[in-house]
This record gives sequence, structure tokens and C-alpha cells, in this order.
Amino acid sequence: MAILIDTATTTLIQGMTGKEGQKVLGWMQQTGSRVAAGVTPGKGGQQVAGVPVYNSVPEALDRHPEINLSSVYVPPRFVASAVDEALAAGIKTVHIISEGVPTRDTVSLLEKADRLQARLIGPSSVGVASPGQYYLGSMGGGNPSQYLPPSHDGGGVAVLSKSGGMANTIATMLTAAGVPQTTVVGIGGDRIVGTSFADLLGDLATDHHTRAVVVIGEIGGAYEEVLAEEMVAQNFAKPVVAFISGLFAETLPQGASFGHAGAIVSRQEGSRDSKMKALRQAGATVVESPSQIIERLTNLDQ
Amino acid sequence: MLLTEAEGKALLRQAGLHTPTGLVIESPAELEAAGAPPVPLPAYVKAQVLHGNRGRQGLVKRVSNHAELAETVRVMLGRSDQHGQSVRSLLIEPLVETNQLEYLSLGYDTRQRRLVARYSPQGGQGMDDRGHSLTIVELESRRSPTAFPPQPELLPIVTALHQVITSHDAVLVEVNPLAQTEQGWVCLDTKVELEDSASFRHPEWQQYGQRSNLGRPETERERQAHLASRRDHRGVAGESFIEFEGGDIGVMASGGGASILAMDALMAAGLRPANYTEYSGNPTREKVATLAKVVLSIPNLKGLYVVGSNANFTDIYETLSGVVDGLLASGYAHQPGFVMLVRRGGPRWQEAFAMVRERLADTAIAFTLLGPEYPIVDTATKLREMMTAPTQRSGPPQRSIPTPPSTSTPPCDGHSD
Repeated sequence: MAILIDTATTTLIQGMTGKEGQKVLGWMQQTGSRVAAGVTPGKGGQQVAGVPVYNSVPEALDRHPEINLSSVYVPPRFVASAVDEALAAGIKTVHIISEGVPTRDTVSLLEKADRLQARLIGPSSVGVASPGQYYLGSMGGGNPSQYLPPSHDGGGVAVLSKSGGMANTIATMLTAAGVPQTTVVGIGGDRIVGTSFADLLGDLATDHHTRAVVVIGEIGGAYEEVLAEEMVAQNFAKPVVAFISGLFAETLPQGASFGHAGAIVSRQEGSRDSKMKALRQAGATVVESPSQIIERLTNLDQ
Repeated sequence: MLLTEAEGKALLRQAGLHTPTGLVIESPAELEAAGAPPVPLPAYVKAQVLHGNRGRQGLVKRVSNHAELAETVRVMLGRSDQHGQSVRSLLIEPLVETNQLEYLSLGYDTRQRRLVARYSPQGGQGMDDRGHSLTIVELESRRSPTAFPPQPELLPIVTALHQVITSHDAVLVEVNPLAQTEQGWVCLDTKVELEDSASFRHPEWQQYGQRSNLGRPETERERQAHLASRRDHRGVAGESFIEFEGGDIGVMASGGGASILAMDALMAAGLRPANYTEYSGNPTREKVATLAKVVLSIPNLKGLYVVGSNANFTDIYETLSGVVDGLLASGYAHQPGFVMLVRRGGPRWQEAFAMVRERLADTAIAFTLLGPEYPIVDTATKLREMMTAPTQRSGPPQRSIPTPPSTSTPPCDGHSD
């Protein structure tokens, strides 16, 4: 088992005829992850690597009713209309890889998604990998060997990270140490994202293959603090090992931002201390360095 | 991008809100030209800097006669705030009679993930310490509010601020204090922050020029890096660039998350970065080379720290080629004892490392190449070792052999060759 995506996932790629869209299609095909169709307005009738392109999302859904997820690879200024179209067409999970989407657009898309009971992943989410089952987006760059799928009835850990690169780095470390991964999620580093750490707790609690959760957070925003609150509120019973980066940010003036759009220096909520403290109080193991993650997970098994 | 009070107030007035009728001047001569007195006295003279706490820094002064006004203008212009930002313009506004100062702001909240209004019946200075007493009301981003329960009388003001924040792609519009007067509600001070990533639909923002969010004017290198990053739409390279005084390690990190980790590691190892910057999202070789040149134009560097996560889709060969292009074009290529540490994984990383070894073979640079299994946090201590190693070398530069990605053998920091 896994969360968010699995062998039943069938993806539509919006913006598939663009350079990045074509590349991600190639990677998803290499990992055997099913992509049924693409959408680029004005390019209907074309094919990319054997996958048909349509002018609109409804047209694609009409021909490929098995599509249950859309992955959006369009420039930031077109994200709002592309996601609007996917939601209006009834797609319940929309993944947005584009970086630099204005917050106003993200928030209005979230309002709409909530009304339609749909889920947005991202913006600026590199993707999701459920090793052995499905690899969405650029996660892993078409190279599934860096992940270790759980055995048929065995367990693994879920990895949640704002940063796609860090998600990948941690997965590589886990694989090297022989720790299987159920799902690796890049939630995105924007100040407002569609799926936060806490939004995944419910799914993680019921996924019986997921034995523990690794969270890679960073300064800015409140997603780590909200995760801590929800762990307590939902009585989340699985072990959580967390790492929060941003020590150096404490030397910068408040309001400075760097790296991800959501990484904004603050002395109160959003600071590294606030996040570490909240997670510790909620029962998570907070490590000072990513290299301690493996050690802590190994200890959990004993 | 933060706006000055005067710029923010212009946006508020466009939305139909009231502000005191003031005068913006950039020199004492402009004050004289405006006649005496240019605004009714007593008045406030307020430095137009981008940061708060102006009152405590003496950058907001009350004046009661023209002589005081002229003297205050003369003294305040050219002064600097606590962040070193010099005072280039002043806003002179008449005193507003009021006995009620409130607080109202609209902004996007990462907790609610919605547009929210924050309200307090007590506004004025020191709001940071009173954050907990704010009432928070969720608003719809695409629809004007129809009610404002905490203070129904303020609905028209909330509606106008809703228009400001959505039509100008602001992430924050704060009015503090908001004063109740006989003529209605008046915005006495405001803080407006526009969202840089929405600049594609706001050509009018060019009037504001480039601004740093560091509480000081942008340095020339910060400006250059920023421009370079925006030259094309593929990836970023220098979008964030912060120059630090007194550092001697040039930093070229990769990945929003890993770059923060890399900086943390440098600090923990007691090393002094001369800059922070980051490239990611598969930028072109040329874009990375331009950024490398900006970093390596910093004088007195002892090393270059090129550290990133295991990339998902950034082509490591292309981007590291850009780093080497920049390095070979800089004076550091011939500086004995100059060190470079690279830690990377991702598409074509092995090819990339072979390229680095070949191109740097005949230079004075001592380099170490670390593959995707080497922990990012340990790279800084590695760099420190390289810097303290004897600089005299008899053979070819220090070499390394990368480990393959799917084994757990120790990383390469090799002294092979």
C-alpha cells in the first residue's frame, strides 16, 4: 500500500508538449507509471512518445475516463486556468509542479478545490513516489533504483518534505541503509500549498504498510507546527522522525526570504526553534542532522 | 517587495480610502519650493524607509512650527535606519485629531491557507508583542466580503483593502493605526508587501525598482544575480542572492531545501560564507556560469562550495559545466591554494564529475567531488579540512572518484591519483 498514488493511478499531463512536460512523460514511462493523455490547447491531435494530446481536459477525459489525476507543467501565469479546468472537469487530484505561482492564484484554486472536495498537491511540488507502484512528476528523474519498495507484506517509512531534492536525498539514504519507503512526497516550498504535512496524517495512519514517517521541514510558515498540533489532535500513533533546517537563517533579519518562496525568517511561529519544539512536544523525534534519521529509524525497529 | 508608506498610501487612496493629505520631498529645496507651511502644522515628518519601528529610531518626528520642520527635514534626509538603509525621501503629514486607533490588515495566512483579515480595536505601536490579541476573519479571495463581524462599521474599509490586496497581488496590506475621526476612518500608516512572483502581470511595478528584503539596499552583486536569474524562464540561478560581509567561502548551493542545510553546515563548521545563493529547476549552463562569475567576483575568497541535493531533474553535467566555466573565467583559477568542494547527485552526475576532473586538471585548484551518498551536513567539515591542508602540492590537484549511486560504500573524497 501507499498514500496518494498507487498502481491504480492514471495521469493526465497538462502542458505535455512543452520541454519539461515531455521530459517528465519520458521519466514516468521509464518507471512504468501510466500516463493516458496530455492536454495543450491548440495542439490536439498530436502525440508525444505515443501518448495522445488533446485541446482540453474534458476532451481528454471523454476519451480516457480512467484518468484520475492531473499533473500540471505549464508556466506560472497559466497555472490558474489549467488547474481550474482540471477541477471543473471533475479531476479530484491535481499535482502542480510549476514554481512561482502567485499566492492569490493558489489560494483561489484551493477555495475551489475545497468546494469540489478535490486535492491539490503543490504548487512547486516535484512529485510523489510510491516505490514499486507509481512515480508521479519528476520525483526520482526516471530512476526508480534510488528507492526501495516495501516487500509484499512488509512495512516501510513515508517521507514528507517541502523540498523535492531533500526528499530524494533522504530516500537515497534510506535505500542505502535498507529501509524501504512506502511513499515519498514533495509537498512544495511555497508559502501556501494545497497539501500540507498535516493533510497527509489521516492517510498515513490508515496505510498499514507505513510504519513510521520522516518529515523534512524548514523555516517559514506554520506547516510543521500545524503537523504537531494535528498529531496530538488525531492521536497519531506511528513514530515521526523530523529534521528542520534553517539554523543559518537566524543570522538574517526578519522578513528575509531565500531558497523556497515560503522560507521566510521569523522570530516566532515559523522559526526553526518553534517548529522543533512543537514537534518534540507532540512526541516526534527531532534530529539535529539528517544523518541521524537512519539511526533513529533503526532504533525504532528494536 | 515592500513598499514605502507613501507608495502604499497611494494604493489605498486609489481604492477610495482616506489618508492624511501629505507631501513627499527628497530635498530641503523641495520643502522650500512647496511654500510655508506646505501642510497645516503641527505635522509629522516620516522617513520613507522600508522597515518598521521608525518611531523608536527617531525616523518619525512631530514638528509644531516651520523652523522645526525645516531643521527636521535637514537632519533626517541622508540619515540611515538601523539596517543601514539611507533616508532618501520624507513624507510630511498634518496631525490628525483622533481618540480611537485601531489595527486592520489583510494577508494570506499559511495556517488557514486563506486570505484573512486581522483586526484589533487597539492599534498603534508594539503590535508585534500583541499578536495574540488579534481577531482573525477568513475572507474569500475572489469575492468581496459581505460582513465583518468583529467591527461591522469597518466593512467598507475591509472591502477596499480586499480590492487593494487582490488587484495589486499584494500578500500583505496592513493599516496601523487606523484612526476614527470626525470625517470618518483615516489610514495613518500602512505597510504593503507585493508578491514578486506576480510581477509578470504588473508592468507598473517597474516604477518601484529593485528592492532587497534584507533591510538594506541591494548590493551590486545581488542585483546582477537577480537580473541573471530572470533572463530566461528555465530554472533559477541567483533569484535569491545574499552577500555577507567578511566571508571567505563562495557558495553555490542547489535546491531550496538543501541550500539551507548547506548554509547550516557551514555555520556549524565555523566557516564564513561570503554569500548565499541557489540554483535549481534545471537552469541552463549559461545561467549557472553567469551566477558563478558573480559569486567569484567577490574578493578574497579561499574556496568555492558547490553543494546540492540529489537532483530529480536538474542536469548535473550542464549545471556543473556552468560552474566550471565561471571558475575558469575568474582569477581564482590561478590562485594557489584555492579549493572547491562539490557535492551533488542527480541526472548525469558521474559524467559531470569526469568533466570537472578533466577541465580542472591543469589549474591550481584543489578540488573534491562528492557523490549523492555523501551526507550534505558533513561537506562543510570536509571543506574545512581542505582549507587547512598544506597548500603546497607537488603533484596534480587533489582528485576524487565518485561512488556509484546505489551502493553504500564510503564516499569519495579521494586522495587518489
